[in-house]
Parts: sequence; C-alpha cells; structure tokens
Amino acid sequence: MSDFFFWVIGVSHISLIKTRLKNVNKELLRQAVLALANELGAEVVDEITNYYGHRYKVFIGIRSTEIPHGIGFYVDSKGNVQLKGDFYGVSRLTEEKIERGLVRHYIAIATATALRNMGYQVSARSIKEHIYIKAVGW
Amino acid sequence: MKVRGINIVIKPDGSIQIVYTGFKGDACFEEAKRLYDVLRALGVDVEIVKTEKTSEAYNTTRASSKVVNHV
Repeated sequence: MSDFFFWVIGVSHISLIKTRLKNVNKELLRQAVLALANELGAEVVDEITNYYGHRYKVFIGIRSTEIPHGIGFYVDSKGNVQLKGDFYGVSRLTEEKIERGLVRHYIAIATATALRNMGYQVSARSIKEHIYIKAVGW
Repeated sequence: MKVRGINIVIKPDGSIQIVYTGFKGDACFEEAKRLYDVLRALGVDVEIVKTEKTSEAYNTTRASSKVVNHV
C-alpha cells in the first residue's frame, strides 16, 4: 500500500484600494446618512436653517449640538455628493468628521450591498472608525 | 464544498483593504473584478493601489492506491 498526495495550490490575494464617490446612488446615500447620524448621535432632518433662521428643504440632512443649523446632503447633476449648510461656528474638525464619515459609511453600505448581490452572506461591524465586512460564499 | 471568503477593512480615510481566501487559481482575481464592477455601478470608483498574491495550499486531496506485485 502506498499513499499519494495531491496538492492543489490556491492563489488568493490582498488588495489595497483607494476609493472616491462617483455617480452616487440616492438610496445608498440616504442609508449612509442614517448610519452617520447614528454614529454622531445626530438627528435626521429634511430641513436645515441658516444663521438668520431661514429654512431650506434638503434631500436628507443631520442636526446636532455640534451642527445646530444642520447640514444637508444631496447628489448634484454630475453624480457627486454635495453638502449644504451654514457652517458658521462649526469647527473644521467636525466638518471633516462628517465628510469622512459619510464616505466611509457609503462605501461600507455599497460594499455590503455588492457582496450580497454577488451571493455572499455578509456581516459587518464598526470599531473606532474602521468598518469590518466579512463575506462568506460557497 | 470549499468556503470562499472576502474580508474587508474600510479605513477612516475611505481606503479599503480586501483579503480574498479560498479561491482556486485565479478565480479570486475574477471575483475581485466582478466586485469592483458592482461597486462602480453603486457609485464607488475604485483604484487599485497594491495587490499581493498569498499562495495557500488550501485543497489537499489524499488518495490511496494499492501496489500489487505481478509475478
């Protein structure tokens, strides 16, 4: 009796990818803003104000103690996400946190949606501004 | 059936690290292309900065055979 071993070598890989939002999907943007609001402890609104109290309707927006007049989000004619709001009194740090958070949540939601559409079972968790997505398929 | 895995880390700056495991041969690259195409359709433009292959002996088949001496 003799044994033979057959090894099938698999090649998997690791990729590092840069991203940017382009031709944004409005429904995914809405979900990303909801996730961002949850993370920041902000209220989701459809109307923002300026310093003088004038009101403006927005597709979706958030408001909190850090952004008392609110910030609205919308997709422009070129498919880019635009922020609208009176940023008077809002620190640059808060503004960056909102921009980066929105992009991060949008990418996470789009990635999870893409993987589910491809037939994978997907789970996600967020730890210290990092989002971990695990997809399993057969 | 072999389990295929895709593990993704989305960093605070929006960059992504993706690790593919359990794919045979170049199937992981085909799956990566498929994922990027779907992501682009959903509004995420991707630019690959770096890719490294990770060879793994993931499928070991043990076969036995009896050697018979013919006299």
